[in-house]
Amino acid sequence: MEKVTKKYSPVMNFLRTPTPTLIGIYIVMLIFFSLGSENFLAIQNMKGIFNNFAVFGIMAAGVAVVMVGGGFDLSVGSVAGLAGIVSAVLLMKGIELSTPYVFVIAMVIGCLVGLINGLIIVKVGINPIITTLGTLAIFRGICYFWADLNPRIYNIFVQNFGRKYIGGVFPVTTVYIIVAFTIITLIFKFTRFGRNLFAIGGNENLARLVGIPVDRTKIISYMISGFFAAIAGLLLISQLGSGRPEYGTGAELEIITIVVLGGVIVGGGKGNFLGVFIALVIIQTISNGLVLIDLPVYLRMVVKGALLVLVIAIDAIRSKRHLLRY
Amino acid sequence: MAENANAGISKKRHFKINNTAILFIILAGMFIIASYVGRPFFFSKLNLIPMINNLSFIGVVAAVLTMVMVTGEIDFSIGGNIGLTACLTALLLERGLPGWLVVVIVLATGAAMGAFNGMVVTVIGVNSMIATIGTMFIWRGIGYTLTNGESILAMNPVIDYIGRGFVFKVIPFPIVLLVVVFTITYIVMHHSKWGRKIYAIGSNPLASFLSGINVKKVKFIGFLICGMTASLGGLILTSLTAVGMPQHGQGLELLIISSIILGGTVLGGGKGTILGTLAGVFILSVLYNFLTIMNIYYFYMQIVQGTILILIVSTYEMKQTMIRRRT
Amino acid sequence: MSNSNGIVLKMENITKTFPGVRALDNVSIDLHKGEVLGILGENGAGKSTLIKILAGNYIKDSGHIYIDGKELDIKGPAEAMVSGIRVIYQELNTIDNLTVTENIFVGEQIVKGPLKIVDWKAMTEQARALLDTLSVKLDPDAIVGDLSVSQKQVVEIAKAISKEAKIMVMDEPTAALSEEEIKSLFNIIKTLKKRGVSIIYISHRLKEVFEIVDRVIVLRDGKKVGVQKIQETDHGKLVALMVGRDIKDMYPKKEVEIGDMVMDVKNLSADGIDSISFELKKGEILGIFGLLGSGRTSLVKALFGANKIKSGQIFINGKRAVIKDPSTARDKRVGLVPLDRKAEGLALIMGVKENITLANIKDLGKSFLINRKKEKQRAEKWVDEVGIRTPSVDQEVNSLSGGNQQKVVLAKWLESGSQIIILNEPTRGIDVGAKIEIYRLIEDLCEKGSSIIMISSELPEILSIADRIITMNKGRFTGQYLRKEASEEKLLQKACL
Repeated sequence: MEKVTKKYSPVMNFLRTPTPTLIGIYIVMLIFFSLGSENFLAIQNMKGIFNNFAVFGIMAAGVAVVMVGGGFDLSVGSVAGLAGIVSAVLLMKGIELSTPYVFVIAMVIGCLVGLINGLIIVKVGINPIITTLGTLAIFRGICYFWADLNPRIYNIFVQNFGRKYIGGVFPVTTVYIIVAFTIITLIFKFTRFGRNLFAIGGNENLARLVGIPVDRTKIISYMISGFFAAIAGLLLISQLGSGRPEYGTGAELEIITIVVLGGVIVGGGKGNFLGVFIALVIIQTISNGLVLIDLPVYLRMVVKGALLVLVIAIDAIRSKRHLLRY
Repeated sequence: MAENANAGISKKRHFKINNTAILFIILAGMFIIASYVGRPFFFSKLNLIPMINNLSFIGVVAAVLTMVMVTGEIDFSIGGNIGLTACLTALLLERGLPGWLVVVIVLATGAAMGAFNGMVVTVIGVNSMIATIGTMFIWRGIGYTLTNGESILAMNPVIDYIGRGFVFKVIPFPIVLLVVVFTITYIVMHHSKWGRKIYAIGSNPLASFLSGINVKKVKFIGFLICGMTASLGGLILTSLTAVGMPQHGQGLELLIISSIILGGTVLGGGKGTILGTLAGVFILSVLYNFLTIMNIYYFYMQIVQGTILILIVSTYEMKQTMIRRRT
Repeated sequence: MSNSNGIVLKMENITKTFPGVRALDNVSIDLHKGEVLGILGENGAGKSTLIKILAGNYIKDSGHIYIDGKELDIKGPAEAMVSGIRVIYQELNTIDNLTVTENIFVGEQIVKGPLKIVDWKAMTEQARALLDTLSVKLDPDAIVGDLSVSQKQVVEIAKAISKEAKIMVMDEPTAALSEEEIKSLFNIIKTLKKRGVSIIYISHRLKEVFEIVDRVIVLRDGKKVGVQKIQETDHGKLVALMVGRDIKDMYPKKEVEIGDMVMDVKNLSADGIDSISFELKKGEILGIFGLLGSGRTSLVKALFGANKIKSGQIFINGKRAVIKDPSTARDKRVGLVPLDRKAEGLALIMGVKENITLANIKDLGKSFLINRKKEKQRAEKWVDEVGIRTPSVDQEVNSLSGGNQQKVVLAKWLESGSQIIILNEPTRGIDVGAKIEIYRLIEDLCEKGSSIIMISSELPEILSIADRIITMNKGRFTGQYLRKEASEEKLLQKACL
């Protein structure tokens, strides 16, 4: 039997993931941007990055869960919009449902739409990209039921939810992000559900053979993604001060870029959440950098599309798909 | 045993013929209902001609995208391509370029966009669903950047003719284009050696490769032609509306892909017919036209489109699952 | 034997039909406590189907399964596992992205505490202990994707023995193992037996069967054709049962005059193979024998242009042939009947005629169009000559039996005019009748001047059909024999070198 010459340990295995490279890239970027733009490291600017990144980060965490299990979720932006506008309507003058109820309802909406995605994908067996492309349109369309109400947010708690700065400097959203990623990392490392999801993403047939409840696990992963998207929706209405039906439009592009850049391979089975977290910081820094260098809005769309293509190409090369000859 | 298997097959074949036939029957039914419920407007010239023009430009793109989808790939970037094409056409006309040259340049650009998709998918091996979502944003973003988000008038005798001209003074030119494109794709798909390769690849790319077919080349050329045809569609749309704007073709990928799948093309490839796609395009175009007549709010159309896509795919997918279970 | 302690498992009148083939026909078996029951049969006899039904992987059409006397309706893998049935599958079933430890405990991670937290420390320790009992040096933290085929098989075995099992099924567990590793596996089987575990051992290596098995059941064409205690039988009897006819009828070897050299391979190196040299003569059948992971399939892929060649040369009919992809291989008149005909050889949802002309599309008509009439005629000619049983050439190949599918693949290369045909396990998963027809076809081809390279892991087959046999291990050739010099022992020994 041939000897495996590589050294293995949990630490070495981690070092072989793309995460260390990502950290390196980020450090280089930081130096580069700080030299290039004086106000890059200014407090105000950092605040800007962090607030934005809470919305994207929480959605990315959910999508990463789905993608580790070999799924895909393009609908998160619409789900965020839907949960956001429904909550905003419920908080409107005249209805003024109490805040805890609103939060619970938003989360239930998130889980429910996740359940719908999951059921269609797992039970009917449709390609997840096509399914969530369809539900993306459906959920966005539903948002427009309340378009004319234009609900504004007066509720102080909700206003603070996504905007508060702890000690005036440290954005509370950062706490959410850290909590969300920590919880997910722990779930994935230390629960059967998490390990099973990796097994499913790695080899679904085997997972069925060894008796893992594949369908249920996958459906739950879509529910987690919906749940996180709903929280992102709450953050959006809090930060923007109103509920609009178009909130979260086009977020899927950036989310997928983040998750794939973070090392979650398309097709599943591989990925770690620290990597996704760093990818999130990188992509948000780039987005912020585009604003700082005054790149025209429309050109940013081109850059974001190009980033997705670039990242997905790296993923293909990493999975050695470029070596396939057919 | 052999006889048994044969019985199953012949039944299936029978069923297959019926599939497209059923679609056309549905279409006829829809016409009857629409003409009754939507009377008198539905059958008026004011409605039918725009509907048919619309259908032509969608059909042109759908026919060629069917070729890509039968190889097992997909191209979501067609809508973005149409948007960019529209902007480019208008800008080039604004510069005073002759109409025919604009057509040539625009089609070449479309082919280049398709070639880019093809490169990313075949050379790097990227999943075409994700790659073309990325390029969709790139194309449309370039369109927005070029025009700064504005609509630009696109008037020129040549361009006008593409969408609004008449052949022999009666047949709208888009219809002629539709017929030509469908005839060509039909012959290629169902009667040519190239078409045989397309179906073989969709059915089993590895076995095709191991039988000496250049899988990557066939797929690449599919993307290239698809990009060029999307630009042709963009030209028709620009001509029909007489403006070039980056929003042109927004969300069209959903409608076109739904039509193709409704027509019997299977995601993952290997199955699908040009006639089926034609039927699918007709049915969805008539349906949407009908909904527009009924004054359905634009954003609710999204719900309809999304639901239809999922319903159609579900129906075909469940049929597949049932066949799989039976065996 | 101490196997009168009662019956653990009883499978009664199990029947399973797939489209085009009855894989199992009223098969009954019983398994005693602490017994090693061998199931013997050639490729396609129904062994794998039987255990897949037991494992809940396939659903039986009819029949009953009793465990400890109680009827059990196995609807899925979970039910089988709960009843203490563990299976080591023939196809490797590992998750390449995960570590050895995780693969061993997949789906059944050790958890601790009320929160059911995955206990990594305990899992790693247990994994290490398991690997020690198998006396293999393997790091529990190693990523399985980096391992060799035989190491992966060890992981599979460790996975199966990691849980308390009542019934352990081993489907060709030694296909990739060296003799050393086989020894430690047999020691484990003996330990398990002492613990009262019952084992179903599937193999077509008779030598092993005589070494480890207590009782043997022979399947042929989906039917049970014999049950024998191992002491009361011998090699010849078992082979006769498996083959079901005189060995001469089974392998209709024709002596064909061997002509000039048609293919000369010099120092060929590619992914998985290292400086391979051989020659192939006109009318010859060259057999290549090696274990799973020996590089035999890599060799096939390199010869056919599916894998890139790193160095070395191939000469065909004395001329240098640069084979950079399958299409150049085809143009040099080389054909490939691949290992997995469904995944690599056939466009399953297309018809027989489309598949027959798949490698020769350019000859389907003079212009860019297909001449359908001509295509049909050519396909019908091959259906006739090769003896494909199909109602018409329009039939989807999906619905044909394995043997007929394999003939379609062969016809494809005949249609494209191949002179050198590479066959990778040509009789895998097809019934005995069809096998004999395939052998006949191969012999006929040689008589007509074609040359054959046949990769096979089935010893009786390769020993009877090949004119010359080369053994392979770790990507290199390790020995060469003419048919009359070769024997099972010699081949196995060289294949483990």
